[in-house]
Amino acid sequence: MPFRLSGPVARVVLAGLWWLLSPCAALSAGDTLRVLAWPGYADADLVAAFEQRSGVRVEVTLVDSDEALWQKVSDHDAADFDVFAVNTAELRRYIRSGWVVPIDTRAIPNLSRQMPRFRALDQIPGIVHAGRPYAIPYTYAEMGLIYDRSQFSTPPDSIEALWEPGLRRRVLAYNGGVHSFSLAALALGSDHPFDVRDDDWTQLAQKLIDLRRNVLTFYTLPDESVQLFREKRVALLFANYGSQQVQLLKRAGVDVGYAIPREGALAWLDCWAITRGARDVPLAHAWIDYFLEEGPSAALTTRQGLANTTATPSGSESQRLIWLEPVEDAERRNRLWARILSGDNLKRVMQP
Amino acid sequence: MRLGIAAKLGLLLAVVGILSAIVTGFYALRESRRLLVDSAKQELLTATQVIARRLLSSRDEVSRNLHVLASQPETLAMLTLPDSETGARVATLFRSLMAAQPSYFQVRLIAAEDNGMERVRVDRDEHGLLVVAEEDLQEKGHYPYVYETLALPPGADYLSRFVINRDTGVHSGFGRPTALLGTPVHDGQGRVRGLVVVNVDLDGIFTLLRADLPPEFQLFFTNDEGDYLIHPDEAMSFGFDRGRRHFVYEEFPDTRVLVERAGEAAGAESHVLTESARGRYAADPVVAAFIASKITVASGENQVILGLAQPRDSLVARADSLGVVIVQLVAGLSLLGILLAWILGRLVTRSLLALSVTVQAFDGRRLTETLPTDRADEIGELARSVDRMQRQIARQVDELEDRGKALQRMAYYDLLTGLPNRRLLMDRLEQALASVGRSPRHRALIMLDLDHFKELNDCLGHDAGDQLLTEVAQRLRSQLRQEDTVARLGGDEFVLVLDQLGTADDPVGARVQAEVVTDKLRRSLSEPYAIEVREEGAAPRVHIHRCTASIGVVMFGVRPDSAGALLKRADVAMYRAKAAGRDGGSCLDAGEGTVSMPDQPRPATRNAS
Repeated sequence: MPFRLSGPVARVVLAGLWWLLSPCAALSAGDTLRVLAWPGYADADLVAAFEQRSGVRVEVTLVDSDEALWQKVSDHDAADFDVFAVNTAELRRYIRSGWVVPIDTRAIPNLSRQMPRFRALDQIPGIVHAGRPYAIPYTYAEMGLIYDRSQFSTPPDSIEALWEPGLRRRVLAYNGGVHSFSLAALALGSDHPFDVRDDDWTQLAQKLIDLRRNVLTFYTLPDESVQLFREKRVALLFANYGSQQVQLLKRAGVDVGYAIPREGALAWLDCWAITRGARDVPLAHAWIDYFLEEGPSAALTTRQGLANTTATPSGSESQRLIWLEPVEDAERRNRLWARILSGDNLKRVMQP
Repeated sequence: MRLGIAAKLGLLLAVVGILSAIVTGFYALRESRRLLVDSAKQELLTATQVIARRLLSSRDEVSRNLHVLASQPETLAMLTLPDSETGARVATLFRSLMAAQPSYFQVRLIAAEDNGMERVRVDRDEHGLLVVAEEDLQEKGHYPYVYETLALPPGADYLSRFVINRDTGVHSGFGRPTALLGTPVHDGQGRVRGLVVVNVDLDGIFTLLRADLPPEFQLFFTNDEGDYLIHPDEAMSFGFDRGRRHFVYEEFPDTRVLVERAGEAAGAESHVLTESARGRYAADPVVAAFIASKITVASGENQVILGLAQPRDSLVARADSLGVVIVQLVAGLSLLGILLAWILGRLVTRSLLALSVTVQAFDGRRLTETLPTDRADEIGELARSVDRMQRQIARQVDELEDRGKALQRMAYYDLLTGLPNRRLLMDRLEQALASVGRSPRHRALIMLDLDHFKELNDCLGHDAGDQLLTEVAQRLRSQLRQEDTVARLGGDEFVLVLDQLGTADDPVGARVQAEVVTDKLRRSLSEPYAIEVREEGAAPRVHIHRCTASIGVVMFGVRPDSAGALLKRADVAMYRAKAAGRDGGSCLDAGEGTVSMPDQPRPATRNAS
């Protein structure tokens, strides 16, 4: 009979020993920080370092779309998560719905490491409400166009390239309702891509149906886009994740170029925000502060190709970046987008 | 408590027996348990393989059905020249298939042209099957299952990734785990015109597979990256769809090798037999078999991993029933060991005990014949030693007894005459005096010495004296009854005790009797003695000697008296007689009365030449 150290007594003893030896025994070891983040934002080693420092367990949940993020945060009155990464455009509706609480900037000493444009929180649309900041910028990226150098003699200079019939079924676009409508608006020459007027919906929907007919498919995650790009000889990619995807593709050995179209590139700024249901608000602040340190900030850039808020990137000052803003009706955009994605025709898409 | 050899030996043997039984039992149990667990793992693997094959065959069945649909002329017609009548016929075809296959959510015919426009679509909803109206059909060209299937040669299949269905417009399939299986439809010129695609309910298929398994079996199914698609805990399935991935190798680390092999070229099926006591299995560890199965058709997945887990305890339970048998066996063997040890102990010690009894019974004289001296073993050796020792002791005891007798003779008898000596006489006197109170009777104490003995001694030597004394002793003895006592006090002094003279109430008679005896004695002693004389340098010669004795008689036996006092009185009486003339009559003590003895002629001493 093989004898194992498995009795309940042994387990209790081991648990006791573990508790005594654990460096965080003094801290509330039972706590868990529940983080909702995007891929690449909270790598396991960074999380582990934070866990070791704070003595709490961190549970990271990944999201791949704004809709999924909204769904998860708003579920159960924002009680499922403590801290989450959200872009400035999305943040407003979270503030409006009361899912987030103001940030105590004094509890985040590393704010002083940030570049001036990110320190001036009131200059960034959507962060400050009633004089109080609700998020801390963490990373940002512009949504340029990635192209296969072997299939382009000159870099694409317009968003319209995505609709180019010559590239039919060699284009990859992002599966997201809010951005897609902004993208379509930019393509149609609109100067208010985040504020679609009633008259414009049909035109935009048709533009997106046209896009659907020109793309190979819509991706959601960076890795997925890289795999499709490589395997399906894709020529052009709308880079929702920006330089992150460029870096992934280059690492995968694809000869790609990155272009900011003349219409300008949508750019998102992701911030950390704290939910109303956060169990341990100081801990959530500590999490935010930690990710503004040099290590995690540098990791963001070197590993993910994402710009961090503590260092100035090279070049790209002259390029036109259109910071994402809250859209007029995200729900409507998503509802219409789901129909477009499912393959409905214009009539069915525009049904009430 | 003092333990005998039998107990110690028995205990030792019993302990050895029990220990060996326990050790044997322990190893037998451990080994059998291992074998059982191994064989159970193999069974688990076999069961997993069976399920994998059934999964494959259910996919084959979907595939066959697809090919049947794709090969129908109406199907091709609906792609090349769509019209509502043909559409209705195709829809009927689809419906009849779906009616027979409850795990199909949806069957569709999709055109290669018109951006992948659906031509015919039958959905399943909670009420039954539904043919989707023409205006509700959708373009699907941008979905991988469409462009991938269209790229396939005729007769080939495409299997989509396993996902949660998020298509709007679908009915009961929405939000359910699903996989799509498609096959292209080619026209006569070999041009691909569209595809037939079936949306399969993964839950339905796995519910069927699970139905045949014992309830304690847990079924796992993952995609090529190891994401759980089917897991006993619903929350672990399709974690990627909810943003939190759950990988099989987190619970079963050994399966990582299967996941890592996903990218390799299709080869033989690989499997892993493993155990897990992690996470949810910490309290109830499981044994599991996982099979990585390469997907042989074109697919978004390279492979799937199928696993079956079974609580370890349910396996071990089988081993435990064996364990009970083994424990019983060990107990039985132990009892047998104890019994054998007891018997063996008895066998060994019985001989020893017998020896011990024999030795105890030995009293120094009688040799015991029961010793097992004929045994060839150590016991026999011991018995022979004991026997030798007994004989030696017996011999020595005999010698001792002989010496004791001699000593006793020396202590109580006169060595020269063989008569009782003074000590024995005193004993007997004391005895006689002690019985005076109980049975008074008349007795007489006679003391005599030889007249002129000293002269004989001086003239003829001690040897002649000794011959005379010996002869006197014989004559005294011969004149007395058996119950009377003759003793030599030393030198030429003799004492006689006459017992039972007449009756108690007749002192005169007793006295007369004593006188008669005394007379007899005197006569006897006065007979001549032939004494052999040996002188140095001369031949032995016989000297005829005559002698007389002075005799004192004392009566006693009616009143208590002391031996010493009696002797003294007798002595006095004798000396009175001697004073009256040697060979003279004896005087009786005043207390007892005096007997007048007649004078006798003085004996002449004459030398024989």
